[in-house]
Amino acid sequence: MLGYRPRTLTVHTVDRALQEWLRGFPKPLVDLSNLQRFDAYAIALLLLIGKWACDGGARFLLPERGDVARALVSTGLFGFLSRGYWTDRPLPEPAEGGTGFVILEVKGEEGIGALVDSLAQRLSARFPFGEWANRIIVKGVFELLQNIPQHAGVGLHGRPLFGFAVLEEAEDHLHLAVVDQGVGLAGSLGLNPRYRGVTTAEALEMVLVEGASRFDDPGRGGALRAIRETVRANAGEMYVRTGNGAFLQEDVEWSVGEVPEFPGVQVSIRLPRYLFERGEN
Amino acid sequence: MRKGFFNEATFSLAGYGARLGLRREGITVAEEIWRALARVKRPGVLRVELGGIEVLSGSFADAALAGPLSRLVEGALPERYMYVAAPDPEVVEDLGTKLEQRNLAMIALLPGTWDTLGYLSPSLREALSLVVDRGETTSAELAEALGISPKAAAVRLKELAKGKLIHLASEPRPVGGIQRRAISFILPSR
Repeated sequence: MLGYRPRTLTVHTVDRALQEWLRGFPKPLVDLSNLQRFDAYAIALLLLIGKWACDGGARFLLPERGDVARALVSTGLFGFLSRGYWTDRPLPEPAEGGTGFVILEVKGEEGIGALVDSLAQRLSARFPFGEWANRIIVKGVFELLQNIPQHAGVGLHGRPLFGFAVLEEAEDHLHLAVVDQGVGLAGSLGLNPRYRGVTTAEALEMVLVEGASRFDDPGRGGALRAIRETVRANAGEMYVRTGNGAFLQEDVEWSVGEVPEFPGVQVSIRLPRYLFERGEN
Repeated sequence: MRKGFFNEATFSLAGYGARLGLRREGITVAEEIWRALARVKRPGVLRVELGGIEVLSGSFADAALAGPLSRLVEGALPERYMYVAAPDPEVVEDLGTKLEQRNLAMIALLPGTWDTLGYLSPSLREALSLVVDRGETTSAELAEALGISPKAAAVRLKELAKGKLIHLASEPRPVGGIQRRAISFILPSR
């Protein structure tokens, strides 16, 4: 039987593929042979799957279209999966000058400052008039990356924790994806007896709308809510997936829905490119 | 602000980098800010200089700045105050959000003006403006200026002092007894 061969892997479409990949764990078959389009969020999930399955060995069927295979390799994806993966043919040479993707791997809280600095320098070189919008991204990356060691790994047993951020400079928007496969929002909130037993849907609403945190300190929490409010105020889109739930902020509306189970928290933020180019706020 | 009344010190964040975002770094900086506050003789003011800072994220700002202010408001280190001086209001946006989350307010000196960050009710904001503009005032003067009762004025000043936004000094009343004088620790700049 033929497996699922996605043509597009984006924040809107990647869920079905994710189910397929998980089904094959710890040796997932990541069939990208039919792939024509992908985004930062899909790359971030591929990083998670590939890294997580590293010892078992993820198997990648590379895109049949040469330009897509080259673009995929040029994101730097395979450079982060340094061992233990298999591809159906040798990786093509990456494109010179990169492809508009930046990948950051979180290995511990102490390295986050340097990662964010490198991203900030790149943003200010690419968008010198977008100081205000660049700052939104930098603050968001700071908050989301430090959430990985501070929340995603707390109480996590039986698997290593991986965390990545991927920034994509797309034609009409900038796309930031920050992902981990840790304990998830409900898992983190549930460590506080006040939130014990919350469902994923409740956790999403508590964290993203009410600004809840597992800490009782009133200064803690609120980072994801603040990011969501910034995204909403700037005509962006935000998607947060955790466990079997997902939160979508689009225009002024938000909704919570059910998705296939996947551990951790995966965040996608898209902001219009004009914010960065014209320096609007 | 009465010249020479406050002992003043400055603490610059620029030495920690242009982009400050990690809570754990904020915790370290908070300890240094606390030591700087403790070193200032009472009544003392610490100006936290944000010149050179491009990004101040909520987590860092909460730990480094809202944390020490919270301790002052709780009563530690009496007669010590702190405020931030920022070259750009956008830099202190997230600090304002965190202060609001903690139900605190802090004065921010901005180019050519000042503002309060965090939560402050309109009536307290009005009273604070008057104290800052005049440099100092008594509750009787505040009551007259705002057209409110002396008792309401005294309550407002007490609340501002509790929030570490002004200093309240006791002085003899000309007709006998003691009166409280509110003294601003920043210069009026608007």
